[in-house]
This record gives sequence, structure tokens and C-alpha cells, in this order.
Amino acid sequence: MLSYPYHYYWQEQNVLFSDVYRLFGHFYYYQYAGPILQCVAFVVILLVIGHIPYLVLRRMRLRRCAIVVLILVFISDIYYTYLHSPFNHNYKPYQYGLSHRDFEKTLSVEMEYYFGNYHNVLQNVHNVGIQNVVISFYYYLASAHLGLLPDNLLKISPKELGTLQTIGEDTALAIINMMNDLYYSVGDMTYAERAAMMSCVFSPNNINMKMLKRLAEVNLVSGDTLAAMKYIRYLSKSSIYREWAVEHTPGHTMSERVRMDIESKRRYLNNSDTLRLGDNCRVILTELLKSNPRNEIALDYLLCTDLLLKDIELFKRDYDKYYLERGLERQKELYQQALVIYLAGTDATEEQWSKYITMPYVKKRFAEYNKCRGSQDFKETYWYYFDKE
Amino acid sequence: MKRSCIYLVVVVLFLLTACVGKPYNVVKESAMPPIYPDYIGVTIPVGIAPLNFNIIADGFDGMVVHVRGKNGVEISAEGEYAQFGIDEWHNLLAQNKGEDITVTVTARVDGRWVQYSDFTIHVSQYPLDAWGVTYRRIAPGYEVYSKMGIYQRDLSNFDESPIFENTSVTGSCVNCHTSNRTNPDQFVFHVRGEHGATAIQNDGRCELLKAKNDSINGAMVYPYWHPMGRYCAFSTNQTRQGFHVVRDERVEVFDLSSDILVYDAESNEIILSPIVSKRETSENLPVFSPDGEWIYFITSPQHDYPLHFRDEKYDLCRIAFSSETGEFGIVVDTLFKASSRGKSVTWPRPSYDGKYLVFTLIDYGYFSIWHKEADFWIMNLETGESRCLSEINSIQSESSLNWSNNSRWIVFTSRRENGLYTQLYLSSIGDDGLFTKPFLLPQEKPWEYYDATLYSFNTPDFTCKPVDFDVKRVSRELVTDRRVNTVVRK
Repeated sequence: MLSYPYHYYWQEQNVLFSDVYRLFGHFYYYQYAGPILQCVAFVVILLVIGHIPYLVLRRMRLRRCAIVVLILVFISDIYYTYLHSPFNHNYKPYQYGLSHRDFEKTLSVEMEYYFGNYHNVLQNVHNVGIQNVVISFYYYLASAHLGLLPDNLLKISPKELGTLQTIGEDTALAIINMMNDLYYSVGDMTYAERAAMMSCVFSPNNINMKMLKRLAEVNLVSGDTLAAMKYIRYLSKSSIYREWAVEHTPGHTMSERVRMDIESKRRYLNNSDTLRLGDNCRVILTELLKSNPRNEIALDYLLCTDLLLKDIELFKRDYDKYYLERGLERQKELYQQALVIYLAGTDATEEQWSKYITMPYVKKRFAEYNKCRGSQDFKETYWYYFDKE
Repeated sequence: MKRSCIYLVVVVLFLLTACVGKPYNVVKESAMPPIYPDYIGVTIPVGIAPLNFNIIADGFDGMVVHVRGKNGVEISAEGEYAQFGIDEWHNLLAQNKGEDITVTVTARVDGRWVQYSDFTIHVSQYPLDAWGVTYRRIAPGYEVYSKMGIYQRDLSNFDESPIFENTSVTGSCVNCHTSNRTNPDQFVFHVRGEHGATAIQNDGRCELLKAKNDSINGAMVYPYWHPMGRYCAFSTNQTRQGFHVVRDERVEVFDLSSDILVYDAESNEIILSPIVSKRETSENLPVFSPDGEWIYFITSPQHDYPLHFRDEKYDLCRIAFSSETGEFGIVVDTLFKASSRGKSVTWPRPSYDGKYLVFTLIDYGYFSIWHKEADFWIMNLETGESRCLSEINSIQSESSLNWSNNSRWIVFTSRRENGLYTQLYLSSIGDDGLFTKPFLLPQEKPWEYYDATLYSFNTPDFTCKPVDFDVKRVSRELVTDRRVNTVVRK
């Protein structure tokens, strides 16, 4: 598990750092202490650091006005380089609509996801005690990677899968920055690339290192080595990403783990070309499933989106088409609960009940639920969500 | 005194570290030097900025370069990259007009000095006939934009300055900057966004036209000036953008409808013709012939988009235009029937001397920038014959192009380097109709510049002098939303 402060990791992944900036480490980073303490820290550090040139200047016996000018230059340099840097200007918690403390907690989830610690993501979400779209988004994404999306769908709020989000000029920065993770996870390299480029477009000087890394990954997966190398070379100039860049350079320096990872991602790629006019995630997911029916992450996102929209008929159609007809054996209680609603609502035959409901206790529990519909005892079930939320 | 000596030693040591030293025990190699950009065997105009270059090789840590012309004139450079003095470079080119200059590169690789085979650069006898180039530089963010703009670059050195950046007007996007035959006294560009407008500058006076006109079903885009300067041809497009699921081409742009029109800058009237405004066909990308008597354009039957986007095949056509009456002709000639070859024509650009017309040929559609198969073709307007410009094409996309005023040079965009970001290349046409090997727009530190940039260059054009544009005044006017209305000529 990552150690506090999380914004350290987050900024490290997102922002282009030169080695000089890294020397100043936390001072450059976003000030968790808030604006008042930030000012106090600024003055104290200024006094401490400013003392050194002051002493030097005294020994050089410069005139007092020259000393004042130099100190003013020094102050403005510190101010513009660190406190008013493009980073601090562009990545403030309010853009996430969060307080400083909640911002830190949110980043604890996002960063655990970034480093692939999916179990830690789930654990952190339950520990932080706050709810927002970013936390939910990464909670669901980590769950999907662990094959637990249907199991965890109803456990938190808000229920933000990301599948109903679109990227445009009015989209919140937080959403723009995270959408590439969804597309990359489900295997849609076209939209992962687009989302990462959009994220860059909304970053200072069109540079966001985390997104350049994603762009390199996308192009490696889709086999566009020329484009991938453009980004890898860029990343190799950053001390944060240098090692990553070496490990991902096509050729003898690419590690076996990376090679296998890329190969596994390639299995999810679309294999028939069409034109998409927007970022309608349903279209994206169904096309991915047509190309690769065993893409479980895409399948879970499709079915769970249907369920969050409470469109049971659509869910049933998708379930039949992408789940049953392709002989997937995995059974999830959430899907069983939704199917029960459909079967009960359509006066299904016994044969249909036995075809769809393979967990007998679900049927029994549904009968119990119907005796006290909306009861808090069934809060974790889809029936409660369907009726009450 | 003692302290001064110490300072002197420090300075000398510092200077010494900046030098690569004199080559010794030099090993000759028959291979060409691995330079970036590839300037080996290119043809350049007198007055072009120095062709500074890097060496891209493992273990490389310095080079010494000598460039020799006739009469023993020689310039040299040494260091991590070849950087030539601007004045001495210009002198060298001026003294070698129409001749070859020879470049000798000696590089230290893995601690040993290697002298590669000499290569030549031909200094063209044809002048560039341009002060610089203008282009749009934009991050490939598909449909939203942060910082982008139209820039001008002095071709004799490395100076670049913005003509208009979208940061001047929040949330805007600028495109399609077009001057009249490289003369920036008259130019037009389109501003998209909340404060959209078509900006037309005529002899220092800038007029903002209403971006959309209800009677023409959309905005006026893809402009091209009539040589007399009174008229400007536009297309009006209902454009949609789609994303390829299998990603070779990435983005596709198609039109639900498009027509062509001519704008009369004197009367603010729009001139239409039913022949080039048909509902069942898309007419697009109009350009005037150098004598102003014809309008070249592309046309394709309208299909059901995006379902049949691959069936959209444009042919190259022309229609007469009378500059006296401002009327279209009544007959459309097909000059290049690309559809019969299963292809599509886009971005036609006639040379100003009336001899040639270069266009881009792609598999379908007209928005070629993401089409890897996009290649330039040239049509001899005197004989009607066409051929693929294989001497300048690459396996990546070549898209927009413009001619210099003397019709001897072209500037064009290509994604040949990484398939993702377009860059500008220049090439010259000889009397035999063949183009010379294109060279990448020179930069002071080419590798550092191009490798680090995350911007694409597009819609390039030559400009015979610097563009004089009052950005502040126009930005203020753009925000007021005061616009000149256009009316359709009855």
C-alpha cells in the first residue's frame, strides 16, 4: 500500500518533472496544508533560504538597494516557479469539487489503481469514508479487473461506472482525466487514445505525463510502434518514467512481463472497422464483445450499465446475446437477481426459470423480498435498488 | 591576481568541455551519416535557414561537420549537433546557386572517430519567392482544443511568431488561413466557437463575417481567393466527425451535405449556382484557376453516412467562372474520375503558373489527414495527364499542400516521421515536372524540437512577406459579436 501523502504520487505521475524540481520535492507539490499554512510556510522558507544570499551579498558589500532588488527577484522567482506554477494553477482540489482532506483521500484510491494494487483500492474505498465519482469510478474499475464488478456494484454510491460519461468541452477535468482508464481496461484503444489526448489538451502546455504513458501503451497494444516510440522517447527524458520507458521500448529491452501484458491486451482489440460518431459506451462495449466474446470486463460493464439504468429488458437481451449464447459459465448473484425481476414480470414458464436461475436461493429470497418490498434488510440486493434508488 | 587566475582556469575548463575536440585516428565508413532530419541529397533554395542536423546513433557524443561549395568556400560546425551560422550559411548558398554543396560528417561514436561518406545538398537555381510560411499548429485533440493558433515562420532563420492564437478569444478555434497567392495583404480565416466568424483582411482592414448564413446551410469553410482579389470561393459543409474502431485511420470527417459558393468581398454577396449546390451530390474544396476563369472542385454522390462512409468517392471537376459578371458557368467537366479507380480526390491545388494541379488521392472520403494511403498526385493541366508523385510520397499520410508564388516550390504536410504528428516539408519542381527529395522545415535544434513537440502542423502556405494582423483589435471585435451579414445574390 502506498504511503501518505498520496498527492506526491499523483503529481509525480501526472506532471512533467525535471530532476531539479524533484530535489525540491514536497515544496513544489500541492500544499496539503491549505492556503494559510501555505503562506506561513512560504514566508518561513523564504527567510531561511533568503538568508544565504543575504549573507553572501553582505560580504560583497553591495549597496542596500541592490540587495532589495535581488531579494525581490528571488521572491518572485520562488513565487512563480513553485507556488504559482502551472501545476498549482491547474490541479487544485476545487476542480474535483473536493475539500483538501477529501482530495487526499480520493487520490489514495486513484493512485492505488494506477499502481495496479486493485485489492488496496477496494480496501481504501471502505476506509476513507467519503463518496465521490472518482472514488466510485476507480472502485468499480478495480473490481472489474478482479472479476468482482457485479459483486460490488451496489456496495457504494454514487454509482459511477463512467459508461454514461462523455468527453467534451464542458466535461469536468476529473472525468476527462479518468476516462482513458476505462477505455483502456475494456480494450478500446481508439477511445483510450482519444481520451488520453483530450486529457493532454486540457493540461498545461498540452503535456500530461500519465497520459503520454497511456498513449505509449495504447500504441504498443495496437502495434503502432512509430507512434509508441514518440511517447516512449519523451517519457525516457523524465526521471520518473525513465525505467518504465526502457522496459516498454520494443526490442531487446522490453521485459517479458510487458510483452505478455501487451499480448493479452491485443486479444481484446476490435477486429472489424466501423465509424463511431460519439462516445456512446454501449456501442463501444458491444463492438468489443462482438470481436471478443470472452472480454469479461467489457461484458460486466455492459450488463452493469443496463442494470444501473434499470432497463431490465435490455439487460435480458444483452445477457442472452453475450452471456448465455456464448456459454459463459460464470454466475453472479446480481445478474440472477435482475433476471428474477424479468422472469417474474413476464410470467415466465418453469422451464425458463430453471434455464436462467441457477442459484435457487435467489428465487427464494425474492419471494421473501416481495413480502416486504423496500425493506432495509434487502438493501444490498438489486431488487431494493430497482425499487428504491 | 590569484583569484583572477582561478576564474580564468574555471572559464577555460568550461569552454573546453563545450568542444568536442579535433578528430584523430579517424576511421572512414562507406555508409551515409545517420542524420536527423534526412537532408541527404535534398534540394534547397538560396536563403533558406541553415539545415542544422543531429546524429541519431547509440554511443554518439559529438561531431565535426564541414560544408564545402565551389571555389573552396567552406563553413563548419561542431558539437552535439551541427549548427551553422545563419549569415555564413546564406553566403555559402548564395555563392553556390545551381550547384551542389558537399557535407562531410565526422562523428565520435563509442569513443572513436568515424568519417561517413560525404553527401551533397543541391542549391536550387530557382528562388523560393517567399518570405516564410504560415501554418496552424494544433494538438491532435480531435474535437476540442486548448492552445492552438496560426503562426508565421521566417524561412531565412528560425523566427516564429503567432498571427492569431485562440487564447486571444476564449474557447475559440482557428483554421484555414488563406492568403491570396501568398500575399498576406489579403487573407481569410475562420474562427469557430461561441464567437465564431469568418475574418477577411483586405489591405489592413479586417472584416468579420457572420460565421453561419441560414440560406447556405452552414458556415463558409475551405476558402480560396480569386487572383483579382474580389472573390473568394468557399464550400459550405455540414460536417460530422467519426472515430474508426480499428485504428489505422483514427478519425474520419464526412459531410451530411456540402456545396460550393463564391463570396463577393465588394458587395458582401454570396453567389450560388444550382449546378454546384445539388442535394444529391457533395461539392467541396473549391479553388480558382490562376487565370480566375475556372473553379476546380471535388464532387461525390451523397451517401447515407456514416453507414456507407467507404462509398464516398470524390472526382476532380471544374466549372467556368466569369470574373466580370460573377457568374458560374453551366457545364461541369470531370478532370480526374478517381471513383472509376475506386479512389477519391481531395485538396486540389493548382500551381500559379497554370501548368500543374496537385491533389491528394485516398481510398474514400476527403479528409485525408488520417489516411495512411493518402498520396499526392499531379495533373499536367496542358496535357490532362496525371501521375502519382512517388518521389515525394511516403507510406504515411500526405495531405495539404500549397505552391510558392513562382510555382517552383511546394510546402506540404506529412506524417511520415511517426504516423501521428504532421510536419512540414518543402520540395521543388524541375522543368521536367519531377519534384526533388523533400526536406523537413529546418529548426535550430531539429531533434530537440521535433521529438519533443506534441503539436501537429497543418494548412501550410507560403507568404511573400510577414503577415500584419492587429490581433488585439480583432479579438476585441470577435468578443462583441458584431458581424457583417452576407446576403445571397438573387
